[in-house]
Amino acid sequence: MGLAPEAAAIPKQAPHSSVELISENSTVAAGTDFSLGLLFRLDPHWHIYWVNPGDSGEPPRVSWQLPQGFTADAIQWPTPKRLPTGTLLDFGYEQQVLLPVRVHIPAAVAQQVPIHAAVRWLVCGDICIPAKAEVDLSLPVGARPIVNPQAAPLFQQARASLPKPVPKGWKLSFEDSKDEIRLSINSAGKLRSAVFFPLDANVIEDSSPQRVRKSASGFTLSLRKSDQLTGPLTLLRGVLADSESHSYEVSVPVPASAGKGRGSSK
Amino acid sequence: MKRNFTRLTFVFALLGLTAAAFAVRVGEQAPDFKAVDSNGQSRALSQHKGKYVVLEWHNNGCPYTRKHYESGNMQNLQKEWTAKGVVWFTVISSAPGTQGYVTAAEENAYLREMKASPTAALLDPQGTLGHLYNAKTTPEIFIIAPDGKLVYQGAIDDHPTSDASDIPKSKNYLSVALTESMSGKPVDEPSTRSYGCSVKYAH
Repeated sequence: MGLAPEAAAIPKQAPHSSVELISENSTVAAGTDFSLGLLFRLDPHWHIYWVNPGDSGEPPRVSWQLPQGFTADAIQWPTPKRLPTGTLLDFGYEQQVLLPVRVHIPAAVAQQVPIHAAVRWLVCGDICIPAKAEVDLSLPVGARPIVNPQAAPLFQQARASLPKPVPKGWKLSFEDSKDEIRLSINSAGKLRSAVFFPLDANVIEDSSPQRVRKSASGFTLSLRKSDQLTGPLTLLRGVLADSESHSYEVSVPVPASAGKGRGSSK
Repeated sequence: MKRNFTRLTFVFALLGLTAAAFAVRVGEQAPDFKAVDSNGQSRALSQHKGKYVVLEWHNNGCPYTRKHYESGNMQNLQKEWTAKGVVWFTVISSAPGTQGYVTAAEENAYLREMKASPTAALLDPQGTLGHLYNAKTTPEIFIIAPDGKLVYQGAIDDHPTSDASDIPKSKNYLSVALTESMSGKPVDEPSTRSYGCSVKYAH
């Protein structure tokens, strides 16, 4: 039971994984946006990587061939999982993941939209294998966009797992000490605990346990600094995940006046 | 009796913390190590005071290592820099049964087949040297200056892919760091994110 041919390409097989180019829409319309997605299916015990892969690995990359005037945004990354291998830690996805991509359609379009993508990724289990595939899709253009009801649940699930902006009223701050960063989250009781996934490499020691200390207004995460963090930290960026599916974007700067001190954002 | 036990416990706890508490950081003294090479010879960092030392973490099956070996890139770098007096140690920290693990004979056959010319290949199947330096990927490069300070840690170059066609357009961090350091300049990018497969430690 696959998707309608207009909206789906055939999954391309690769070692221990496959990739399929799917579209949220079965029909698109001029001057609108819609979502494409790269649907990866992985063999048990094999994984692909998040935008920051962690201690090792490489995230998937895509290069698009789109008709004149079309633009595709960067891949949107659902909340990753922690993937430990012994003392090392990577960030990525197992089993199945849809990576959405927003596409912008110009005012002037033909009746049919051919889409081509070259996808490269690294799939790892005990060993790593580089993989690549060329995927194609052709979509009809109509007066109004039509969502593909078979693809919609996959996109909804992926979107629910994309990191959201921190809600208004929450307060995030961080303290930068010699060996660790303490990220404090005041969420008016909404967030009880979380795991921090850094966006930047060499900021925290990825594999170090993240100690949680609860307070009346929220909790503090102690994150051991990476030995490769040279110089003071000016911005802490990442994703705070409270479960496997729900997460928040974190971007906490250090005020310019502070040296080795506090940073905060509301 | 009880006080002695407490003191002893404290000492053991301190020893247990040593590996984590002793950080390997650019600008600081690189930790000394002892390891056996593929010819059965014992090698130590302290034997090479006054020389530049390169540590190159290696796994012959990892696609990122293969990128640099099948293209001849790593071998060219080994030739170029050992000719300039650099001591180059290839380090294999793969545990027995994992990808990249080699016996001494297998490593010597690989070096011959690949025409690789490190000063020596250090066999580290227990991961002692790997954990001491907190090596995470293959490849990963550490450069130690003649005064014993770590002057570079990170990737071999600035294209974190397994594609050999990226090599000609890549900035080779190893060569840049050695050139800068040898001409008395500070290394401009002393710490980069290494890329590759995870080191296959025993666990």
